[in-house]
Amino acid sequence: MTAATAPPEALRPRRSWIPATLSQYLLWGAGVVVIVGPIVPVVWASLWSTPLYEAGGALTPDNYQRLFADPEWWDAVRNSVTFAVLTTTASVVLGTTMAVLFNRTDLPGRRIFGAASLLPVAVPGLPLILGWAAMYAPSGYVTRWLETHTPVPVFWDLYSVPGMAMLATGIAAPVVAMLVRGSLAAQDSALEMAARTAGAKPLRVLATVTVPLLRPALLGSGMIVFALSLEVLGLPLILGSSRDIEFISTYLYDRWLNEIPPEQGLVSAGAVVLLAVVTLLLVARNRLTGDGARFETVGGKATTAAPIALGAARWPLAGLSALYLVVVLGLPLAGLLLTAFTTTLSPYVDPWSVLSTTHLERVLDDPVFSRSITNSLLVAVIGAALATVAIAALSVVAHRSSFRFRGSLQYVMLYPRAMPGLVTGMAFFWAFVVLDPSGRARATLWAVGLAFAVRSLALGYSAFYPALAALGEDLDRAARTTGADWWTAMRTIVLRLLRPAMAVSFVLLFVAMLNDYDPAVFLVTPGTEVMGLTMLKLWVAGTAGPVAALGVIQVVVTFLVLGLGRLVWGVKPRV
Amino acid sequence: MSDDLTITGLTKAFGSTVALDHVDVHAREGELLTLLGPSGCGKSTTLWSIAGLHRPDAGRIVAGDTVLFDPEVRTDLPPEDRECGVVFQSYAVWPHMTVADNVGYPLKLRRRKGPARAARVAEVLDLVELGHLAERYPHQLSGGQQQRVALARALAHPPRLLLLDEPFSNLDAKLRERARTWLRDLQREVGITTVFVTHDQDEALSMSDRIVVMDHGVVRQVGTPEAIYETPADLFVADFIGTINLLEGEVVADDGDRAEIAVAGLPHPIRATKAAPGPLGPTATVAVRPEAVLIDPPADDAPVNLLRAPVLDRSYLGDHTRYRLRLGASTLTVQTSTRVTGAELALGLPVDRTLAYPGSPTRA
Repeated sequence: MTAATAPPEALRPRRSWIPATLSQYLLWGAGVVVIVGPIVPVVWASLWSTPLYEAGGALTPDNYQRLFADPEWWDAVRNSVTFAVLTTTASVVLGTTMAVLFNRTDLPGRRIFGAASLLPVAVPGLPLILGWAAMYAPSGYVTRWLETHTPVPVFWDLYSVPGMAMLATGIAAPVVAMLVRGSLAAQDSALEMAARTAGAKPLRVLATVTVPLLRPALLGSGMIVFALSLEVLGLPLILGSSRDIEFISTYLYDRWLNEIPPEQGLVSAGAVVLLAVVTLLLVARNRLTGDGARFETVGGKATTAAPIALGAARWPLAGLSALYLVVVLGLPLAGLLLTAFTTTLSPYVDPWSVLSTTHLERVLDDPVFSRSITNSLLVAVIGAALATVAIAALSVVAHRSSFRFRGSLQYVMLYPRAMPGLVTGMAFFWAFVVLDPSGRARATLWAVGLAFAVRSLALGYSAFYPALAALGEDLDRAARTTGADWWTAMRTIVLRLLRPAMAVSFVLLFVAMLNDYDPAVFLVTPGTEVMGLTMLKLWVAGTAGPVAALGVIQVVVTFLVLGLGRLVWGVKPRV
Repeated sequence: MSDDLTITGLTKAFGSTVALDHVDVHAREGELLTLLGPSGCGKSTTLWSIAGLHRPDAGRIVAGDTVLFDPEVRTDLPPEDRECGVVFQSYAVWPHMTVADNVGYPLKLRRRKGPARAARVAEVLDLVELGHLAERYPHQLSGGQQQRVALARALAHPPRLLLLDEPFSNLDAKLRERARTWLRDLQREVGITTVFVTHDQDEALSMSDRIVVMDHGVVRQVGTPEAIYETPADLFVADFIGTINLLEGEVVADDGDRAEIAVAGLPHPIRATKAAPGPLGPTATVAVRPEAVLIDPPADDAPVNLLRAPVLDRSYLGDHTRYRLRLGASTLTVQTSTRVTGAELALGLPVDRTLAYPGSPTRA
């Protein structure tokens, strides 16, 4: 025997203090309870005759009966569905056009256009709506300017359902473009070349091969946009309230916050209906796009497709693209800035003569404003950090363990995507009511943070999972065979190697939680306001300037963090 | 000291497909035992079951006097408690650690401190001739060097068994040949019981003390490389290892360890040695290696089947020439290092190297 085999004194490898199986059960249990658990009390509240914080009460279908008998509910449903159909149709058409135009043609500056066209996804929703309102509302700067300076008729009305759908399309079209672009990139260009060699001209190839192969992506993204459109709250609250246009979300919001006594049973029933519809839509989407074999385009090695020549239409189309970006993003951001930094915004007054920082000063001085900034930052930093750790831990149990119920965990983590923000907030409200009748836990920022974290979980998971899946399992198996127990192997190898993915997940969660507001609608207590909610409430109450200043802060922080994330970890915007 | 390894009745099914069907394997102390077979034969499943990375349905795995797996006594040690060193096909060298940290990882887990750990790491790295690269990161190493890091890491603790899962499949042909000899020498030097999985028969023949040939979850033959090549236990093994001529015919005489088989189109039955005792049945297959066939056989005492066959084609392969000849309704491949001319060759099939198997050849 040589020196190499001389056994060192037999040492047992170090072991974690908690056995792997037990820690896996604990993580799984906590995940299920926190993420899916809160649905139970909403359903319960919707079927109970009195609010859950009052004694007594009995099981009753009364809330549902009253909901379905209310003509205003059906008005709201009609508005929401009309809005969702318009938004979906327009954004699928526009998004596909953008994806093809910016990725498959010789449009001048298509790279810059491609990147810039995705920006509306990254801009926080509320400030963008404020910017649109400042510019394109009936009394907005652009509307007034066109009316007085040009013969161009103002054909839109931002305060109507089609007007709101127009704004929503500006935000949703990039979502479609992103999904379609991924699908385009995965297409084997040999398919297009085969059509060319068979005698088809480039545009014909586009119409008969490229776009038809995109059908699953179009269907999938269309259903996502539809589901998201059904639950939007900020848009109808800001733009629809002046004309009393109610959506499902605002119907629930008003009945809860503006009725005395609040109709919490009725609202819970409405929330359960909304949840059921959105869940069905997303399940149907997974079914439909899951059956993708028919559209699979595996073939030879993918080569870069030759761009389609636009010919004489190149420059006019580039001009149109630039105009689109100015209208959708440029002017509204300018409108937001001008609202924030002028005393009055009107085409009859030179904005430079009324520049002022009073709105910003008021935001920083007013305790409610400044508190909501601090609260939002706290929730975003701590919440995103804890949520990232939770996602990482749950993901390794789901994908890197032999835990018995591991398969259920990925569905649990993706489920919040099917939960409208309003419903998430209501679910946590009732959960706190049931578990902590004193209301002390709900009065802390942790309550809001927890709801925001659960809501953003699916986003973080979908950013984290691809990196985990790409990491060879032999790496942790190797650690196990050299003597590391499961938890040690995860900690020292898998999670250590996935630090960059965790950073990406953190950045995305930070931005999402900084700008989120709808779960807080039902959860908020004095002292736990967050930026988005404060903006919403004050806008509805009629203060534009300080709200815009708050919006500017939100946009600046978001872009700083996303820019930093992009520089350091290559973070890309996701949906 | 290294342990021996005993596997009995190992069974594993994935859904309705049986991956392992009552597999029995025994690796002697210090031996290099190879699991050889086509892909899907269950060799990797067996290896992973030993390492604890797969849970078999039934069976028993014992290393030395430690039971690693036995559902009857409710024993299923997790991989970290099995004290095996595993080299994965992908090497699985951790990219965020230096070579020294990779090799030191199992020692760190076992709380081997500072100088003792460094000394052991240096010792193992010297063993795989990588001492000078200790501070490098894996991405700075070639594939062959990464493989040696994986081996050093597997040997560091030190383990009771070394398990190698197709370790050479990612190396190019030249490097692979050198790695074989090198690994073989190292395994002898360390003297550790080693289970080696491969689908490459050259690798198996050149490296192993003994080979276990597997197919469809069943062990077909266990033996030394020579035994496996010269006297395959059945037609599958005969066909799987190397090149072999298979001629089907009717049994006309069957006594003791010899038989005579009438192959269609041949004037005389072929006399052959029975591969296994027991009656052959009505039809049998004659198997003879291309290099066992004699050309212009000398007239001596050794019993030989004499034949004449027309040449179909010849391929010159440098150190030898391969002829394809028409033999009745079939073709016969013959390999020789001497060049012969002529449209027809006089052949001799030595009776002791011509084997008879019951049944017909089943070709996939």
